[in-house]
Order: sequence, then C-alpha cells, then structure tokens
Amino acid sequence: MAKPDFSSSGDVSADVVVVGSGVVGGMVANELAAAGHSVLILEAGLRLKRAEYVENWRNMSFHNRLHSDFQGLYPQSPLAQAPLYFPPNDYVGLSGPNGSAFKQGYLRTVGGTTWHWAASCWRHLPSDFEMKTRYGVGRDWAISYNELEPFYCRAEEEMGVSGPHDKSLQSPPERSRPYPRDMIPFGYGDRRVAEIVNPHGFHLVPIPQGRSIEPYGERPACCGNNNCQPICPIGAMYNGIQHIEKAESKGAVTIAEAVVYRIDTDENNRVTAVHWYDAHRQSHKATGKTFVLACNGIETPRLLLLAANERNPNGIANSSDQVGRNMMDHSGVHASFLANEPLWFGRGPAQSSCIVGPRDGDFRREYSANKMILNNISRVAPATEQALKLGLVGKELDDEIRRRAACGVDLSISLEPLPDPENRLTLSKTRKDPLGLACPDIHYDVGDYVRKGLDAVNSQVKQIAGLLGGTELRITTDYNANNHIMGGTIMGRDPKDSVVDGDCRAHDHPNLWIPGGGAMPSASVVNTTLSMAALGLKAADSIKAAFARGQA
Amino acid sequence: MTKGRHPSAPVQQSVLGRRSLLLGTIMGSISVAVGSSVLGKAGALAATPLDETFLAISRAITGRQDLDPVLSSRLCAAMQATFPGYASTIQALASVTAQGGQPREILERSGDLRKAFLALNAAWYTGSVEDRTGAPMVAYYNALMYQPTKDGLPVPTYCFARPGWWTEAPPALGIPIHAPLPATPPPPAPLGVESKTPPQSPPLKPITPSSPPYVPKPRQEH
Repeated sequence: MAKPDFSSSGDVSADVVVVGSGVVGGMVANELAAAGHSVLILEAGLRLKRAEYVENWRNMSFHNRLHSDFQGLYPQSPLAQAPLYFPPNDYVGLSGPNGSAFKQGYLRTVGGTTWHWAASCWRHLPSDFEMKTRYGVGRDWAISYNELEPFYCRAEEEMGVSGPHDKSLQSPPERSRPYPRDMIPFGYGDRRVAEIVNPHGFHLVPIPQGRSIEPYGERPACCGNNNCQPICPIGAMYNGIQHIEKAESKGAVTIAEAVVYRIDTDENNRVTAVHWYDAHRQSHKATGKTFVLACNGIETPRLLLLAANERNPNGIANSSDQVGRNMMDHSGVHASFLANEPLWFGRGPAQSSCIVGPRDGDFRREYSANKMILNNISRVAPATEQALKLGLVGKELDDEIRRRAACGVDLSISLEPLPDPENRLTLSKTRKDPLGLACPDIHYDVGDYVRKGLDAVNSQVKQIAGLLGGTELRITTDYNANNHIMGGTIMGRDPKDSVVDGDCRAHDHPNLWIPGGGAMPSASVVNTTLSMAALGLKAADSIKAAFARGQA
Repeated sequence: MTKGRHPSAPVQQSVLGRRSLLLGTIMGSISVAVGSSVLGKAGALAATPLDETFLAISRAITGRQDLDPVLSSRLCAAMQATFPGYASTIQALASVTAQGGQPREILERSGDLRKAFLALNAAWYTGSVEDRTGAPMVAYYNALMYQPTKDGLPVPTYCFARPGWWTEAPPALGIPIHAPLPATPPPPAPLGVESKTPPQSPPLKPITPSSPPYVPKPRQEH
C-alpha cells in the first residue's frame, strides 16, 4: 500500500496531491490509491463526526431550522471560513443585479458539502452538452454525453444510486447500464400528484437518489427520517466522507485544517508543490507528481487566483483569463400552495419526485428550461409558524398545523443560466480571511435567458396549483441559490477561451487536473453532483493513463 | 451553547406515547442555551413555586394537561433568562388562567396579556423561547408542533418505521379540509432556502388547464 512520505518538518511528498476532500476529491483519491499510487488529501476545514452534526442540528433554535440554516451546524475552522447566514458573515462578497441569488451554502470540512445535500443524482441530458450546436446559446462541452456516459454509470455505482428501472421514467433514458438500485418508491403524495399532473404533460418522475431502501455495501437502508438536509443521521445517504474513508483504507492520508495558498510551478509550467498553513499558521509544503484541485466551485477559482506566481501572473491555469468567470448556479424560485386534499409531504426521504416536462425543448433557443422538485421535506415547521402568527391556540392551532402540514406543497424550481464571462469571481481588494488571504467577491446577473424562463415557470406553476385545487399560491419574487456552483474553471477545446480540457486537465499545466462543477460549461437544470463525480472519475482515469505513459 | 441532558423520565413518556417509548433514550436530548447557573437549577429538577405556576399557566394556554414538568422548568428558566422581569409576567398570566376555561377563552379575556400568552404558547410549540436567530431552545423532539401530525409524519431525524414505510397510506386528515381563518396567513418559509424569507408574491390565482379536460376524482381519505 503506497503512502505519502512525511519529513520531520511536516512537509510531505506523494504521487498525487489532492486539494479538497469532498465527493470529487474523495473519489479521485480513492481511484488513484486503488491504482497503487501514494495519495495525500489536503482539506482546509475540520474533521468531525456525524453524531456531532446531528446533535448540533437538534440543538438549533427553531428559527434557524425553519429557515434552513444548513451551514450553522457544521463548525468551521477559524482559519478556513465558509458562508454563514445566521447571521451573515459576508465571507463571499456579492454584487451585481442578482448578487443576492448567489448566497451559496458550501462546507469546508472533511467530506465536503455532500454532508448537507439531498442526494439527487441527475445526469445532464445529451442536449445539455451541445447547447451552442443545438440551440445557438451558451457553450458546447469539450466532450459529448456519450463520452461521459460510462463515467455516469460508474459514479452511480460508487454512490449507490436508486433510480427508475422503468425507461419511461428516466431523464434521460439514454443509459448503457441500469441504475444500481430501482427507484426509491413513491409515497402517497408523489403518486397522487403524478396521477393529477402527468396527463397535462408535466412528467413527474422519481429523482435518482444516492440512497436505497436496502443496504448498499456498508451503507444502511434509508428509513425515511426526512432529514437528508442538513444531515442524514444514520449515513444511509451517500456523503463524500464515504470515499475519503475508502481512500484512506487504501493508504491515502488526509490532513485536515490545511489551507492551501500557494502553488509552485517549474520552467515547463508543471506544478511541483503546493503550500499550506496548518492550524497553528505554520506553512508546509507538499511535493508531488500530479496535483488535483477539487475545492468546489468557489474555493477552486479563488485558490487559482490567490496562487498567482511569476510565471502565471494572472493566476494558476489562467492564461485564458477565464478562471473565475462564467459563474453559474441553478438560480431558482419557490412556489407554495395548499392543495384541496391532504398529500402528506414529509414522509420518506426529503427529495422524492420532480417535474421534468419543461427540461428540454426547442424553446431553449429563447429561454431557460426548468425543473420543479416536489419537495418532500416535512412542512410541520412552516405550518406551525403560519398557524402561530394567526394567533390560534388549543385545538384550532393543532388543526391548522395539521391541515397546513398535510395539504401544503412546496415546489423548488431551478432555472438554467448561460455562461457569461461577466459573472465573475474575483479576489476582494479589501476583505481578507484570518490568514490574510483575500476573500472571494462575485458579481452575478441571472441574465435575460433566465428572466424569460421565469415567465414560463410562473404560468406552469399556476397550472399545477390549479390542477391540485390550490389556494394561497405564492411564488418567491427573488431568485435563491441552490448551491450548484459551476463555470469558474470552464471546460473547452480551445486553451484561449477555457481553463480545462475534456478530462478536466488544465490547459496550462500538464500535471494539474481541476475536476468538478467549475468545469461544467452548461448548467442544465439538474443538481450537479453526479456530473461532478463523473468528471472526477474521468479525470482519475486520465491521471492513471498519464502515469502509465510516464507523463503524470 | 451550553448543553444539558437528562434521561427519559416517565412523565415525558406519558406525553409522547408508545411509539416514542420504543425510541428509548434518544428522545432525552434537551438543551438550553442559557447560563449554566440557570441550567443547574433546572437540571437539578428542583421545582420552585414559580416553576409550579409556570407549569399551571402553560397547561392552561396549551390546553394540554400532560406537559413534561422537567421541560417546563427548563422553559421557565430560559424565558426568565431571555426576558427581564418574566417572573412577574408569569404571576400576571396566572391571574388570568386561574379562572379556568379553554385556551381560546383564556386568550379572549387576556386583554393586555394576549401577546404574552401567545409568546408562551409559541415557545411550547416551537421549543424555542422566540422566533429569532439563535434564540435559546429547550426542546426538539418534544416541541408541541409535532403532536398534531404524529400519526402521519416523523419528527425529522427520527426513524418512523421500517424502510419503505412511506409507501403505505397516510392517515385520514380527520378534520375539515378548510376552516375560517382570522386573517390572511403570512407566506410560509420556503423549504431549503438558506436565508431570511425571500420576498413572495401576494396570493395568486391558479389556472386550471382547459385541455385535456381535468376531471377531479373524488377525494379519498385513507
């Protein structure tokens, strides 16, 4: 079992140095450790246990839980901040017409942000890879759906995804292998809504999910405790920590509280080392043959810009000036209403079904596609807040909570921004983190493509509410973030206008790979994690091939 | 946050019923984000006369006789730690509840104390002394808000039954589908949006698609 080599000073050398310990870093590390390479994983944040997060969540104030304070239960390293919203810490400075839509919740902790995801494991559609060719908007990927498809299969198998074996319920149906497990069975609410809305073309389908109702490997069965976000109490939902632990069992070593800030390059622009600050602000160096940056869509471009050096004065991997540009997320809205019959959302896992009828079509030449998640998160807390504000007590209060919890519907709607170089992450000139490193600033405008798409959403939501006899229909009038951060290290064939190639290998540095959401040139409307993992596995294969050719 | 734990007490089990009994000690987790001296007092289970009065007014305004005295003492301590002079508020509320009656009747005759009654009632339902960021909280599982749906919905984080239980028919609603409301309710907090509630539209008129014709099926209770 190959292991990193530590010196007495705390410096280390390894075949592969992975920065970031989330789902992508963990999967890449696991692949390369399995291939016999020594692997070092550097993580800026803390390493804590699941039980602590569960305890922190249960001990959180009602207001924080009602308003989805999914960051607050994850303690942060004092030297590695991440966004907080209760109260806001303004770690990421936001500006632009829709700056407020980019309030992302990502974790800097061993295991990464999939600690508090909901385990939706969607694939992009084949058309999503060819937006420019098919619809004349956005960008094409450097690879086709067919090239990524085998890696989608592998990512689904690594994460133990349950998805529909029935082809008519698959989105997309183009698959070379079946889902490892059949769909998580619908609860009553999903069945009933599908029965009502599907005759009208809305196409409610099961969400492919990284959990299962039977054990998967060492992972227990989901028992539907309805708390996927912000923490699955029993580890039935896939989390990135599972691949970190697998990699470690094969010899990989993870160092927590290691904030990478500098990247050394040689005369051929190969990366030779990264430097990190430990918890005592001492600097250390990790040398390696191959380097992987997998710090999610904000910290990766930030690090590339922070690490500018003499040979790379605009930042590492940034000869194209595209690092930090094209920032995207599924800027979304929420709609809520009371159905005229009890649907009882909140039974089973927190995400279950989704309307994908408006996911693709020729209209994408003109305006954004959308998807609408029929949220299966318990509505007891918002029902309680509403009923209390009505001044009810006693039986009237209990009845109102029951009625609203049983009949309430919440749709989480995602739209698809196009890559726009002006939507840009830069280094703050005024704000520094506790290590003196510049905090990220992001300018964001959802663009007219999304604005036009929202008009279609409003009409579709009104029809869905109409079909369900909805009352108190409300739609949020400002966009919200969905934590699907894309674009900042964009993929392309031309090194002049992109950062990485189809293997997520940096155009500028032959031994640097930057897999993950940042590479994605089109957002689609679906959660990014499965695509990120597939890109990570493709990068891992590319690294293995480079080692085999003696080029890594 | 200062944390306190206590084992499940029989009085608590009487509130929560058999299913919770089966959950064992996991439901014993209660914390209170107030000073340790206050926690110490409540943790020692030494019910003071004020605790007794607080429990009595809490029973009256919630209409629940089976409130957990341990939880009550903790909430009493947290309310006092949060609201200066709350001891005198308790006495004032007691003068109203002493006449008995249903929660709604108590509220109707509460006059200037209406707000205080609603705040106390809300604290029992939410498990937190106030609806604000980081407000001290004393109860998660035991917050009364989960009681009206305990037959149909799990308290999030707690397993309800065996894997796949959610495919079974939910309980009957058992109450009218509509009820007159004293006011237009505020918009609900969108689920999973991590920020203050975003601005929302006024209530909108739904559209019923005309084609293909929609024929509602009779609503079925299960």
